[in-house]
Amino acid sequence: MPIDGISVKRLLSARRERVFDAWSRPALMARWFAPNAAWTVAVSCDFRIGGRYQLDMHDTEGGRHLQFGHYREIVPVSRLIFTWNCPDLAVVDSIVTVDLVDHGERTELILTHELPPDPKVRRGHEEGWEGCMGNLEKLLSHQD
Amino acid sequence: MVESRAEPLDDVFHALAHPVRRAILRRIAREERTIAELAAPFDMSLEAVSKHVQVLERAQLLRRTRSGRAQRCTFRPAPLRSAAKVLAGLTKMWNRRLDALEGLLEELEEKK
Repeated sequence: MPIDGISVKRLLSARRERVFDAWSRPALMARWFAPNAAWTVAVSCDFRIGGRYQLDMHDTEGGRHLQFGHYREIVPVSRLIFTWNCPDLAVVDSIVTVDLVDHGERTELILTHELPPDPKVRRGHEEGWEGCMGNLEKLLSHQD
Repeated sequence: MVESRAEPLDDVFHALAHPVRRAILRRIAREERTIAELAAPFDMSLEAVSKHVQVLERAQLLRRTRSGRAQRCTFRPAPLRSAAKVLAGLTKMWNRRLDALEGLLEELEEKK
């Protein structure tokens, strides 16, 4: 795993078509895409390459939280790549990749989230990554 | 969870994005070193190593101190902690969302 990102995996009890729908249809996205079940979320999504999506979330204390980005790659039922901006976290144009692996009635979802997509950092990738979170943790634990 | 501004973190991730700089960090994490000592295992000029040291310095992962004529490089782990914190925050956020997605999918399956 790259040192500038995270990866999350899930085995879901649904076919890929259904999981893909949940990621691409605003009405379905609105039902799970808030970080907190008590928040309300308005989803707009222009589901095509270059199209923009936006999650406009309202928390229970009247605060507003915005997340938005553009679709970079759409491969129906198997892959989705989009940029992710979150002013709350000061994250600008990070890259999220969602891969859906067919397991019949089940689907393995692999999500990677890389930040930042700085061209200098991308070149760093091409030179070959050897770092991973393990290295980072090792460095941290040495100092504690 | 706003624990860091974007710019210094960009510097940290940029600093970590090169194998030579990661090797330098691992070595100064064990003990402080001079630039010449850091350059020794690499087939690189002192100038090239100095450039990498500057990138680490800008990200505040390394501090240069003078002792006599030699400059010593010391490891500063704090920026790594904020980088790790941001990554942990993202992991938590996606895990929560995927919990909700799982719930929705189960609901849809039942309705089928």
